[in-house]
Amino acid sequence: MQRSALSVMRAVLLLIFFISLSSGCGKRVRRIDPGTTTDLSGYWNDTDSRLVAEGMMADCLTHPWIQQHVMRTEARPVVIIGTVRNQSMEHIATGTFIRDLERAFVNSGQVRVVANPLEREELRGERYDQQEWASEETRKRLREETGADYMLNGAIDVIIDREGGREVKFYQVDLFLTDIETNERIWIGQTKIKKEISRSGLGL
Amino acid sequence: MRHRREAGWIRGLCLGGLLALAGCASHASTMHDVRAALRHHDLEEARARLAEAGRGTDDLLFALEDGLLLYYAGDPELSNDRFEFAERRVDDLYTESITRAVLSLVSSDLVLRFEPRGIENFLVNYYRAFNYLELGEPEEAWVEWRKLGWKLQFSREQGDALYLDPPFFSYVAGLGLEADDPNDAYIAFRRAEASYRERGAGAPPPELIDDLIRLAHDLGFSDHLELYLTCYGERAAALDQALVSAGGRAARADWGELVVFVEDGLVAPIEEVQVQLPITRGRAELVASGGEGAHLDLAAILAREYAEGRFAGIEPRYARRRGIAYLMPISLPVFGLGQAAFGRVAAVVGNDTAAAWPALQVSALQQLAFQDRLLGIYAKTIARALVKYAAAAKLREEAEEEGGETAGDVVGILANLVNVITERADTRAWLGLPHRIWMARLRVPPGRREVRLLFDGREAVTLGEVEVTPGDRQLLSYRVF
Repeated sequence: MQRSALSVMRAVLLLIFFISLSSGCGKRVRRIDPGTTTDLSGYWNDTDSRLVAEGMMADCLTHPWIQQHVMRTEARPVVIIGTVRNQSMEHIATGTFIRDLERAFVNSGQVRVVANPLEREELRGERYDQQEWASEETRKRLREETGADYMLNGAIDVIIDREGGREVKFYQVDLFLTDIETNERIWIGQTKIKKEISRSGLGL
Repeated sequence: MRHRREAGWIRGLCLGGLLALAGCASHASTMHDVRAALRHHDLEEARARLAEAGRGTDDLLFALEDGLLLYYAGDPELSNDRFEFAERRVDDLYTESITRAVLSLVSSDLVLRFEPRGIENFLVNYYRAFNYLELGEPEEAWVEWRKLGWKLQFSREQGDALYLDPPFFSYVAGLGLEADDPNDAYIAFRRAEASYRERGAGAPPPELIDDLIRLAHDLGFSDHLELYLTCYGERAAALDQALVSAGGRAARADWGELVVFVEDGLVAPIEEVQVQLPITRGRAELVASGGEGAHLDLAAILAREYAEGRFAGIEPRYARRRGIAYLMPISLPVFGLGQAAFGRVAAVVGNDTAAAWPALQVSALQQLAFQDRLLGIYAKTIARALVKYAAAAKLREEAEEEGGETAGDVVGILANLVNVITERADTRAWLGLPHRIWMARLRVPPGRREVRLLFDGREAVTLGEVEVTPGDRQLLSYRVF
């Protein structure tokens, strides 16, 4: 028995030695391509935001609502991006996601996007300022804003299931495009992401 | 040659002991100073004391303590950074370090990473939600209430103990979530009510029943409504009638609500006691000749005997008379006493007063959690002490064989010294927490309202003015050390 107690202590000291060796490693930084898929913690991340925005906008922009609008009005539809509610149990930077959506719309060239309510206030402040301080030839007119035809909004939700060291996260992103005049839903998009996170019960 | 090898082992033992102790400049002693500063309401000094002690090996515990101090100091952003860090660390704790686990078998539990216990994990989200409210980000506070709900759901499945699902947290989560989603709030209120009933937390507060009736009414859950009317009698029926009437609905929508939380005193610390365990001659022989299994069996027996109070009052002279081979010194954790700062408190707005009630007994719940793992702590500590004792005896014997009696004595003393200094009780806990949290709810007319707290035996405190808007609910918190 004493022999086994001694062997435990020997093993312990050996472990201490290896720990002291491994603790010598310093901090290392390397640049990676922003398009690279990275999953470190299992939380919602920049890759999720980008992939979901790209996928959903691709679906939205190939949907017939754009042609129907052009045929009816002979103009490109104007969209305002509303809120994307975070109904999950994670702090999700919905601002990044919204900007990804805006970028996809604007870059497609098929849709015009107007500033959201928060930015609008800032722009209005600037316009009011110009009435007082800018020269007449450069001054921008009041009440010449472009009214949006449609509003895009939505929600991000998550369902988590956990058993022991295994966790499955199911994200669901719903986006709705609604006709501002009639409240009619003209497009509904949905994307689901399932992530499995495994934690090892033992480690050094 | 053998002698030199053993001398190497003694150095190894000493090194192991010192290493084990290096990172453990006792959290309890650091927090003693921090708590002393807090009692004088000196948050700056408290933070300075904590920073001075540094993170040590327990960055998680440091993050919790500092996060809470920053919360009181009015730095919600940095406070949430600390809590965020702590939450991520807790996630990592699922992976148990083999190195530390093995090391803990021969030194003490202090080498294991600190793990939040009892209700500490729930309180992280409670404080984070308040931080987000302070930052004017209610949507982020909702995330915290939802996280809290999820943690409770997971914890509830682990057993029936009250500390695994204290109704307070579901209740507060419901209060916080109602502005986001009344249905989520209703579910949280239902869980709170069930927890009061099923986990021996006493009768649910009448305001919670009001919330349930009101939301069951609003959401059209008529079968639930009937159930609550049956269970909670006249008060529930009167409220139901008021909700049906147009006047009652209008009154509800026209007024705002303030929910005031008052954090009281300091949570009970875990303290260390030195105990001498009597090992009879028969058991000493078992220790010397038996294998690891015998050690574990004996440790379990001794742990139970100690828990039953069999060794109270044992002293060396008595031990000699009773044929006891030796008294084995061990360090055990004991639950201390929480410190309340006041006996009663009421929230006052204008002419309206609401008496607060102790909604969360932090110390009492932590004590329940502590007691649940106590027998395991005893068994592990005693098993470790037996292994260390046997190893020290063997070293002494071998040194005596090779170097004579004096060498044996020296080696024996050194080995025992290492055993004694490495044997420390794990007294780590989140010690900045309050002893209990009181809660009061007031319905108040819209406008700017001054909120005051009246204590028994203390001066009244003004929390300042809040803007009450119709149909809105605000959560306010105040700490008295």
